[in-house]
Amino acid sequence: MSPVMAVTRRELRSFFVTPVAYVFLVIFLVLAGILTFYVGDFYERGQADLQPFFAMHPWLYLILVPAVSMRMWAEESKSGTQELLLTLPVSLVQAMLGKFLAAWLFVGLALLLTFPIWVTVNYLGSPDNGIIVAGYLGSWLMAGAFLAIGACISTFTRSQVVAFILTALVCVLLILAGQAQVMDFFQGTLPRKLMNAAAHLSLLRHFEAIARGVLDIRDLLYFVLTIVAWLTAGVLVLDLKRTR
Amino acid sequence: MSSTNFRRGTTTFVALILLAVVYVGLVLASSRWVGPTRIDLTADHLYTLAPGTKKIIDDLRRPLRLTLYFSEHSTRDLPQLRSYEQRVNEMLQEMVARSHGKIHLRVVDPVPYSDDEASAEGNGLTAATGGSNGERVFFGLVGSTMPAGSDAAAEPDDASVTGGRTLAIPFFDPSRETFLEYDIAKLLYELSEPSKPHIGVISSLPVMGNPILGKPAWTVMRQLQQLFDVKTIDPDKLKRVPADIKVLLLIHPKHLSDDALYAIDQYVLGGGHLVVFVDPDAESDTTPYINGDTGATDDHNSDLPRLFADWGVVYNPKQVVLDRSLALPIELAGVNLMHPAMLGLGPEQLNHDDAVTASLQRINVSSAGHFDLSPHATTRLIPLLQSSADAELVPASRVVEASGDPTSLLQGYQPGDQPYVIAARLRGTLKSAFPDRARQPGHLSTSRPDSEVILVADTDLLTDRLWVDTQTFLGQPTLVAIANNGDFVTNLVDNLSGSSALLSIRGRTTSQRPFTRVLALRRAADRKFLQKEQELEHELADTKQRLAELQPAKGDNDSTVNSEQRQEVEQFLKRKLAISKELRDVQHQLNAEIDALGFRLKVINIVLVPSLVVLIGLLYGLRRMRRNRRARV
Repeated sequence: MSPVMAVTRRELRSFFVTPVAYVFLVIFLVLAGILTFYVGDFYERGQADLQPFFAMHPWLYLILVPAVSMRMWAEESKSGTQELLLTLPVSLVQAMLGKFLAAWLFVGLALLLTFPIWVTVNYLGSPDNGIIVAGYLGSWLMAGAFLAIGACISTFTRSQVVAFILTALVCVLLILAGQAQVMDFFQGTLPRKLMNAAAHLSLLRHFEAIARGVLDIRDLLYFVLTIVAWLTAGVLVLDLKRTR
Repeated sequence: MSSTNFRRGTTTFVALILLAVVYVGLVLASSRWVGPTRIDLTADHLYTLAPGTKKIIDDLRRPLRLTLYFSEHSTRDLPQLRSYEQRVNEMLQEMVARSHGKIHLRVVDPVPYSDDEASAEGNGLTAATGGSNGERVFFGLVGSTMPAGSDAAAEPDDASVTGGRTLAIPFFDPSRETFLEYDIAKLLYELSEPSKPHIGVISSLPVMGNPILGKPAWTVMRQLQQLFDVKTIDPDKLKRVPADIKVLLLIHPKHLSDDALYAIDQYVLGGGHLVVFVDPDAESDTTPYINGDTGATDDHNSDLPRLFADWGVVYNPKQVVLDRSLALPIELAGVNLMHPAMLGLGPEQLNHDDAVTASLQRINVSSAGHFDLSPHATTRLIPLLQSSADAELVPASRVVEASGDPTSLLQGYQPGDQPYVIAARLRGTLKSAFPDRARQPGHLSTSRPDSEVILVADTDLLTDRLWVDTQTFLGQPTLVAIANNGDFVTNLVDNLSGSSALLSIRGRTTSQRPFTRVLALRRAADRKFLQKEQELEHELADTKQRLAELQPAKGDNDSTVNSEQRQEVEQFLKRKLAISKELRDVQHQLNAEIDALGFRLKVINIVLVPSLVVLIGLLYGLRRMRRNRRARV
């Protein structure tokens, strides 16, 4: 078995050994349901699509994904297991990749457990299930991007709380980068080219494009680049720490 | 050692900066230079070039110039519009790529007070308000023909000088996204055709509007006018349908003279394409029911009995199709109810094997009739639009009388257990209805084999109210199709006039996907309510009758009669109040069923799965505890 898979399995198992995983799943599912039915008005609007469900995912991830990622490296550093891990015959890249994949699969599991909403919309009407598949895929890609950001930031600090806050902060910035209100606020002070660049870097913009039902290679490329870039940054920081 | 650490730290910092720069660079570069390669997961392939589009582009007869006017500057705080502009631009680029040089695309930002802005307005684009600092927003497309052999890169010529044509899409409304490809392909098609086909319209309804009164033509006619040269034909003077008329629309024929009928008869037998719209109850017919001067009556129905008889068509102008399964929801005096004579024909009621209706999703009709073939007919009737099997036929007069209480049409409902044909192709060898004119020069007695007439048993489907909604976007009124009625008519005329390339593009709208189960619950609720209402009304009538029976006894023992009568009256009033309350309770209960479904779904989604997760977690935890205890022992 490859070292990446070994780390992935270990990390996945560690999620479920403590109640943390179950608490996370329950909170995720309850919040997703409440946001969809009460904030998104899913039933009362009477339209057979999952737009109210997916529209809530950026904000749902904003709170819950940092809670998953904050313990990736911050806890290792604090409890001293980081030193142990870094002396094993596992490269930094493999360790980072393994941890990330475990977390990403875990969030994917949470997404799969929302299947009742998909059953519900098909029970109530005839939705375009292709768009729903695209929505789930886009949502998972966005979760991956959030996790990569969190993984990187958790290498900066020993404190899980600090890791949580910093991750949430960065994710908020990436969500707001594409929002109309934010663009309006800055339009007078920043050059137009910079504004357009910020919009292209926005997680929300690429997620919404996929959620319309079209897998464009540029949106997929954006998410892959984002994940690779942040994980690479995390590896660089770990490499620096290893020397000390 | 410390100097080594410092150098590594610096190296890491530089590496992080470099990583950030590379990341941003790659993201921006990919958004600009990576071509639109994509997988379209939508059920209707909303984002893939349709075969019809490809055919239109492949068949272009001459070079075309497209200019996309988009206010880049004014829309810097309108991300929705900018996102849609990217989509429009990408589709145009795909079309350009497909055209192998025949289509040339230019993108222009018409900044305020520039020549480009004047050019945009001059070419028929409409500006919307709402841009930054109140600036106007242009987002439209101008297409023009170019002389053959001209240099595509040359400056745009004056279209009037070169004899070219210019057409425009005034404004790309994001709510019309599902029609984006159709709108652009239609523009290309219109520019490519040397001239528009001629179609004729004979109508007793004001479908072409009234310029004197400032009434616009119906939207369906305006759409036809974009693609065709539409000529109005006066039936009173009609002796012969002009030969250049490719398609003749005969709408709501009433009191046509024999000469007019003969002209139509010969037009059909000579290979002309006829579309007939008849109606047992044309709700847009404003003719008075009783003529004040002559006393003649008019039932607002239309028919073509002489021609239909010889074609083998059976049509009863006094019969309307009701369909409680397809009833459309309407609001009457603030109350929502289903109208059994107003039907929303869905995918199952449309013929998906016919090019005209294959890609359509929904047609709304109102108080429609139906067609059948006579037992001796030698022609074939190919349905285009049908009712469901849960339909019945009622007199048109009953539908008119029920206009204030549509649910009364459900009383005594007896479905025929068969769908009724509301629109169809009549195909075969047609005979003339005027054998007595056989000696006239040029008379035709029969048509060629597989001659065709389109029959539609409703005129209301042509009216705006059944398929067009008006919405406002950035202060700009926009017509939005909520059904495919307009597409149906345009497809018919396109199909009959020989142009089929646009068919596969039209009607890809999927914007309306309601909760069908909730609608079914509401229909069932209406049915139950009506049944209960009838029972209670019968009871009320019985009570009323018993009260009336007490009247003749008045002559006898007055004091006893008075006392008894007073009791009955009080009883009657109490019962009436109780009945009203029971009706309200029934209504409330039926609404509660829909709410109960919503509640059950919320419980399932918000409580059930999380509870299962908790349960699994607890079981897993218990098992681990037990295992640990055993190990300790």
